[in-house]
Amino acid sequence: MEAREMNAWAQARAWVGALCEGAPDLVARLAYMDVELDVDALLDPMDLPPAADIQDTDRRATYRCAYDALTTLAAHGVDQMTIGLVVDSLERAWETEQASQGGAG
Amino acid sequence: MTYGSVTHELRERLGRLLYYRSARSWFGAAHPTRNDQTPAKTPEQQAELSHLVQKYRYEVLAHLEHTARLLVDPTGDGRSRMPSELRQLSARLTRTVETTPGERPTAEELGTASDLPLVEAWRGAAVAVVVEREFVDPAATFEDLSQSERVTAFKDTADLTRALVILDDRYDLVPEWRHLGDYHQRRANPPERSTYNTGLNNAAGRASRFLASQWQSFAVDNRGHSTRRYHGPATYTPTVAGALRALHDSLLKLDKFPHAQALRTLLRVQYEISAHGAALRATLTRRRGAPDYFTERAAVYWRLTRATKNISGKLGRSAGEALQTSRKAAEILKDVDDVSRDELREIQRVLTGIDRQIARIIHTGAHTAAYVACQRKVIDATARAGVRKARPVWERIDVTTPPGLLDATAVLDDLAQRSTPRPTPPRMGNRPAFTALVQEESLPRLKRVHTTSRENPGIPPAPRLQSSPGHQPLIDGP
Repeated sequence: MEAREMNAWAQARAWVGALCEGAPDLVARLAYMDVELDVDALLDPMDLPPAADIQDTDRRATYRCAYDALTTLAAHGVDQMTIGLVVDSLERAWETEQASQGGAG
Repeated sequence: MTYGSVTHELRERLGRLLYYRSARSWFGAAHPTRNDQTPAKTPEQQAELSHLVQKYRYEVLAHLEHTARLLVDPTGDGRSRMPSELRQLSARLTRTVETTPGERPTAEELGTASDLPLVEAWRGAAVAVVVEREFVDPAATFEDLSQSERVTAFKDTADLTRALVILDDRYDLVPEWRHLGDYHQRRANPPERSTYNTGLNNAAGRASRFLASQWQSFAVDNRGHSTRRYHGPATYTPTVAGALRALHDSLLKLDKFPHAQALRTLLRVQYEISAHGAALRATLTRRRGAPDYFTERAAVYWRLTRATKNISGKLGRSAGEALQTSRKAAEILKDVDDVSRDELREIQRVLTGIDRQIARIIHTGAHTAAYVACQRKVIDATARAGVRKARPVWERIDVTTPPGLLDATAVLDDLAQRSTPRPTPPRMGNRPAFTALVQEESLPRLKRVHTTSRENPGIPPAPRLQSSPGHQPLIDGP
């Protein structure tokens, strides 16, 4: 795996992980955890780039970064449809979080 | 045209379609957020395009259904031995094709290019499918496939089906759009975004996850046998039935974990079960927020899922004895109809067994250095072909380097040991009245104080009926 490609995967894993860790409730956490597992399933487990811990300060900015990090993978030879499916899972998780926050409020 | 080239074409076209947001504007309507934009097509023209795209979609859907049916049951005798996840996807696709109103596009429609990129992408997908149908015999193609080729073909089918469902949901506001399976309203799937054809969506998701696990060629257990990686359903309903279903699934698959990444899925399911258990207990006891077994367990598993984010390696030891536990769980599941404190106690009892097994698996993996953690990466000192590559640094996990992992398992172990409830009889264990009776029987009895002499026993005292909650004494007659 090239350095840039590994960096792109690491970024994607890190931002999705940050979303998961900062999720407000159980349903959102589980949804983000599923996205994490989906992303990891695209990689060889012995070739897993390390994901750094990111402090989640602004949820919307974190979501935007995760979204961009996933779509950036298209530049590294990842199938466009595969990315589209993972991004859709991320969008679903985000909508779940928004819905639960709206319900709570 | 080969199978690979058709699938590549389909993946590319549908991948492009997934990038077209705000579907209605791609059909020629005005963009919802740009006020200055005028619509490129009239509503009537949009409806015509909608009909055309539905024809293209039907062609792709029929192709996916045909492929799945041939892969699951090549002989057509209905005696397929494929895993249930794949059979379910095939059945859902067949049902969807049967209920979706549609017709195939004509040769003219297939040959006429459109000025709208969305319609053009759909046309390209339909053309690829038709070319394959006309020039490749699918039965001949799938007959001599190896197992890995079959898995690849099925994975493609599952992914393409997911893409079709996603696009179908996005075209909600397109004029005269009829959804897959002819659903008229979105079905609520509580933990997730609602979708029209939830059944097809879930079946495709499950099959896709299952097949992704099949790709792992290193997925062997410590005896060298290839095993299935664990994959539960994406989510369980937040009810007693959902929690029990998750418990049952995780138990049945507990001995089939080849590597540490698969372990994360198990930890995720355990977290989900514990969180649901905490919510149930809070409902039952009306003590919301009070720390209890389930809340504590959920916290531990949450820490474990985060601590295992970067670990890899082979699994320490397969949990063979988990099969026995799973049989016990299955027995409990037979009798549970409605939730009560006793059922929660039973669930708790089984969960402690799982806790012990998971703690043992993680500890064994760490002590034998079967797990490695990847925390950072370094740049190679020597450049290869002019490129200096970054590579992950794998550090073996042992007792001296806990990334929060061994710490959490120690808590888990402790939790399992000290919170085991008293065992109840296996047959009658989860019947509330019987359990209450057993508890009364096991209480220390008061010593009888003799107030009369042995020679003159006097009038014997009347037997007292002990009232117990939920247990009414039988009365014969008035």
